[in-house]
Amino acid sequence: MTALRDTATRLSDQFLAALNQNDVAGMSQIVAPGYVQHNPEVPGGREGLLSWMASMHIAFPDFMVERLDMIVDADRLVVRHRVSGTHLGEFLGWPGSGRSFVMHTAEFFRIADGVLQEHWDVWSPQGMLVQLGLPVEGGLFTTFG
Amino acid sequence: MVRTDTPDRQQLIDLLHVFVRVTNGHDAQSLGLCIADQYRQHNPYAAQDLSGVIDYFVMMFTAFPDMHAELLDVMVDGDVISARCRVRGTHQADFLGFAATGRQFEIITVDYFRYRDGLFVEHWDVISVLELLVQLGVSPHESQQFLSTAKLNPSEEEEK
Repeated sequence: MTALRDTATRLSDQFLAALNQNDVAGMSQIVAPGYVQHNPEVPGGREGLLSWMASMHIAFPDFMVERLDMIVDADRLVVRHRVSGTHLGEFLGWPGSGRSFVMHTAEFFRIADGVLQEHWDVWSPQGMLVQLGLPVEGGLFTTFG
Repeated sequence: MVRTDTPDRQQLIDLLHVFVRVTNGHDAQSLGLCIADQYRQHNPYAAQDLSGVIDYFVMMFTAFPDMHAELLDVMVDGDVISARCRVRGTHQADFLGFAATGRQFEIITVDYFRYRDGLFVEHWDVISVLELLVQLGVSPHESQQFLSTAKLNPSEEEEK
């Protein structure tokens, strides 16, 4: 169990470091090529995660994700994140507005072979859009699930 | 928090199922079967203690008479259990001052509970009140205005 927790902690640390710096090489080291993505707003696979990460840094140059806490159970972990950013570049087709968002999310991962293999999350698309002053009607985001 | 021993995994899972059964049965007065009197809430909008949880669920069951949570996923780590749920309800009575709209909400939530001596004693969650209000058709402006004034636990960070 300790070894599993160590692996989970290391992967979470590396995930956050890579995500916050838009570090393609760092992210590629810890995410399986066939990464299964259950968030419908993010393209599938490792390549999809990398392109989403890049787009977030364009839209929110100060994009920042911090870990609040973590639960580890066998081959899975769930991390609560505090996510924030200021909308300065294009996001979903909308030009930067200077408005910012802060939200808490829960990120679930499955680990195998020492890397992240699968991802589910819980977050609020509408809450993010409201904070950014973007329209919440009309389905820019699909319903998450 | 002083821990006397590490609980058995199954004890946490069994207690979570009690919580789900009680809440899906809309039996708020039975929440004491799974929630400690001095229940510590980390959600800035949630009132402390068992009495606060009972008041919250009574309010929700009144506003959303068909409210139902579907347990999607459970994880256990020592004395903490996480539950990922799909929660649905139809807005049929006053909710936080917003009159019934007849609209439905569907949100995914995560709850963490800390277990001690047969009860849940502490709670964290990821739930977006803003998401819920927007789905009910409350305007973004009104939703944000509401959230800015509704905090019960000012020491906790706002979950936007």
